[in-house]
Amino acid sequence: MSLLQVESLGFSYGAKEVLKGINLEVEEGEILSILGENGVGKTTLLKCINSILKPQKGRILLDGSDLSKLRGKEIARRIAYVPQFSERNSIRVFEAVLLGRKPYINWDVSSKDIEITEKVIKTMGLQEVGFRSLSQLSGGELQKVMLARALAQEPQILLLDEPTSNLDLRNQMEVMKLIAEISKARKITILVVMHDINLSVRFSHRFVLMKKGKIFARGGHEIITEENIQEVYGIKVIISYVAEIPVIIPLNG
Amino acid sequence: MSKYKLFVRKKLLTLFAEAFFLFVFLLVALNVGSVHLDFFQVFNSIFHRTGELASSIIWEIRLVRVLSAVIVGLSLAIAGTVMQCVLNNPLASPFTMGISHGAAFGAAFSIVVLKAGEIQNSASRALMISSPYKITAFAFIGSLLGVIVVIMLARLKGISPQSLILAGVAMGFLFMAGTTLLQFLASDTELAAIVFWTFGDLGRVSWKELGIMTGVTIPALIYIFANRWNYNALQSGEDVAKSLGVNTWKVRLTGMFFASLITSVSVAFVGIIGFIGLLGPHMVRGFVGEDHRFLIPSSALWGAILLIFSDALSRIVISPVILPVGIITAFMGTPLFLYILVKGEK
Ligand SMILES: Nc1ncnc2c1ncn2[C@@H]1O[C@H](COP(=O)(O)OP(=O)(O)O)[C@@H](O)[C@H]1O
Ligand SMILES: [Mg+2]
Repeated sequence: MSLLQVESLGFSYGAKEVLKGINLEVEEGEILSILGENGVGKTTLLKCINSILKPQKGRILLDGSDLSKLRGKEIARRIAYVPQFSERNSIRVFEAVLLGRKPYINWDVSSKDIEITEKVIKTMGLQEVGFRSLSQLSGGELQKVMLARALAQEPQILLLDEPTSNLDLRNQMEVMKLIAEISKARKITILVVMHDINLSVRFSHRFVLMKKGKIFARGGHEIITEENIQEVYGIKVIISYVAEIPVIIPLNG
Repeated sequence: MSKYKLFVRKKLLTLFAEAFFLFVFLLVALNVGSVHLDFFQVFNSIFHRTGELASSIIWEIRLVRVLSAVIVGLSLAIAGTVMQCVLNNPLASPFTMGISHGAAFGAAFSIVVLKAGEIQNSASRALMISSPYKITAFAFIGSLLGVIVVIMLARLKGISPQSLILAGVAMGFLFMAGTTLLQFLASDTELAAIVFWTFGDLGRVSWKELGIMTGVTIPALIYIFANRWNYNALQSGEDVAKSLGVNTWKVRLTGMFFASLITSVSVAFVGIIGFIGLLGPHMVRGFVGEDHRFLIPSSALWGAILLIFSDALSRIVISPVILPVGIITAFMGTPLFLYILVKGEK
């Protein structure tokens, strides 16, 4: 059985239907990229999977149990979420990461919570800025803090919404590498919404292509074809190989 | 020792320092008043409650007044801290959101329409509250009216923090107009009671009322403190808080509910005292940061200190005339309010 199963999921914001009949299986330990045009419903899908939004149709099974029957705390111990845009308030990095222990806290933090937080901060290479306020971090550092908070939750599944969209080239690579390493080392399953197909192709095992609120195609690298991309993004592309890395190049007109 | 332990220790130290200052201010405030008592007399009277003049001044007037300042100060400061968090707005407080005015209107309504209290011209106490529970209940209903409007406005998409505050101030005006309208219907004695209301005064609280205030406030404070991790989570945004398993809607609603409960019980007995809910949390943030484990107790202590200080000041500035304490807190609070407003505009 798959770790995560989405069964004919449907979601609407009021009268606006955004997701229609989404079926999806996610296997343990894989990195799955969700690709598609802006506004197609990628963020909405992630939020449904994290139970931030309650879908009106269909159901989501986590390890076979219905997500809508689990308590918020239980979900939070198994699924972590990093939103596309993070609040840049003036709490300290350590406090932000420690917050990831929230689902485990009853009355107050334990020494174990502190230990885990310290470890995660080290893994992410954030020791230097550990007690700086979030408002004084660079974009790359902030994104790492958000990842660190999610990791402190010790989740089975990590949901990432465009984790590299506000980063420069070097930070994009660094963050994606970190994500790949973490996934491998801790066997964490990763669902990531990507707007950069090239980056996505290099780091993902499987892909979901979304179009008009539905899944257009899903599968391994074989579905990343010129035809599919043209269908999904409505733009002509060619796929070329540079140093054995596939590169998707959009064409004019 | 780990860096984090040091980090926490600094905050704890701040808390201890505040507790110490509070104690010192308490002692000093007990020595301030129109009748001169030396320190030994004051000290002696605290421990020996006799029928002598010094003892009755301390027990019947000063002690209850100072302890009321503590309860009201910490209530308003905590209400402000919670409201700033759940409304995600640094300018939110019982006073700026019009909730204090709602409570005052409710209290005035219960006096004029339901005859819950009247002024007696006795020397010791200006206001006779014949049914304190009724006044509290109506103050609470009044404040809830304010809260409901605030919450509905906050739910509106795209309302800016500044607009929300503006709406709160407008609600305050509306309640004030309502209270003024009641004055036209009131008898002379009731009128005096209402006028008192809008100017906040710690001098009319008796031990019984202090007991009611404490009894309502303490459980609410415990509830609020128990939610400190939820408030921490809310600071990282709605979605993140939800993904951490927080029932955000419930936390916001109950936060507003208890914040207005403790506001109303203090407004019911001492009237409107503005800006403590802003001054308390904002003046300590620089020392203890945004972690509500420390921010809540720290603003509470600071709110208490501020109110004791303001009250003592109100008694000595143009002695023997006693200024309404709300005037002193407004002089301190308005500049801070403007500062946050201007800083937020950037
Ligand atoms: N809170 C909301 N209320 C109403 N409509 C929304 C809301 N959030 C997103 N939408 C709409 O739902 C659609 C999908 O949004 P989203 O899931 O954010 O897309 P993506 O992440 O793929 O860009 C868009 O058309 C967007 O305008
Ligand atoms: Mg999106």
